Amino acid sequence: MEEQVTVSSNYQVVIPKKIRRELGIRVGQKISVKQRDKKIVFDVESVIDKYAGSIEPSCWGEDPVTTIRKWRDEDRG
Amino acid sequence: MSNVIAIDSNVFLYALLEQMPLAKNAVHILRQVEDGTFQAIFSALTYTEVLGAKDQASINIAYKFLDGLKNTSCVEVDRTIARRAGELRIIHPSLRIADSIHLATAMIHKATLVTADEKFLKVAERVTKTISLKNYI
Repeated sequence: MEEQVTVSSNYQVVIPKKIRRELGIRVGQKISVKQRDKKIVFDVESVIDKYAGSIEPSCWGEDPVTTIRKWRDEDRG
Repeated sequence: MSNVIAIDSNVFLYALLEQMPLAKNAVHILRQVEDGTFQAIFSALTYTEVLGAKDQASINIAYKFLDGLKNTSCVEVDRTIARRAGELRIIHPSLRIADSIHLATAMIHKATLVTADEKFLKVAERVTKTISLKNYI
């Protein structure tokens, strides 16, 4: 799907209705904007799909609760 | 239950780390945030706590994850939250500073606190609504 849009005086563009509906884009939703040579890419992929389970446990150490609890308990304030 | 949830740092880490026992629960609740079932907030302190990763690439992934979650806002530690955190520590001396900031953030925003930390949960559930990640789903 491709449509032409106009850049406004403050560099805003309106995402065409068809595309908004197709991708389920809502007001306030965060979208990544990337430059790919002479193209601008609006990436609506969920960060959950992209990054969940993507860090190896060895890059972290112990279980998250154990590690964070240790740090918080180190606080003697 | 409020439709605003305050997410503790450990929940994000369970979702991010591979093959974690509570990963399924963490991803489930975060998907519910993305689909609009809940609005989510988290304390800016979470950025400090995800720095526990041992390499920069993992830290960058964690930051992108926090920055990119839909229907989710980072809450700065402002004067109101800092004061409430201090008051909580007077009433509950076992609360550490970081715990009290996460808890105060939830309370000020009338949010249900979500955590996997059972020790924190025991104190938190005395003063606000909570969800244990372990028992979620």
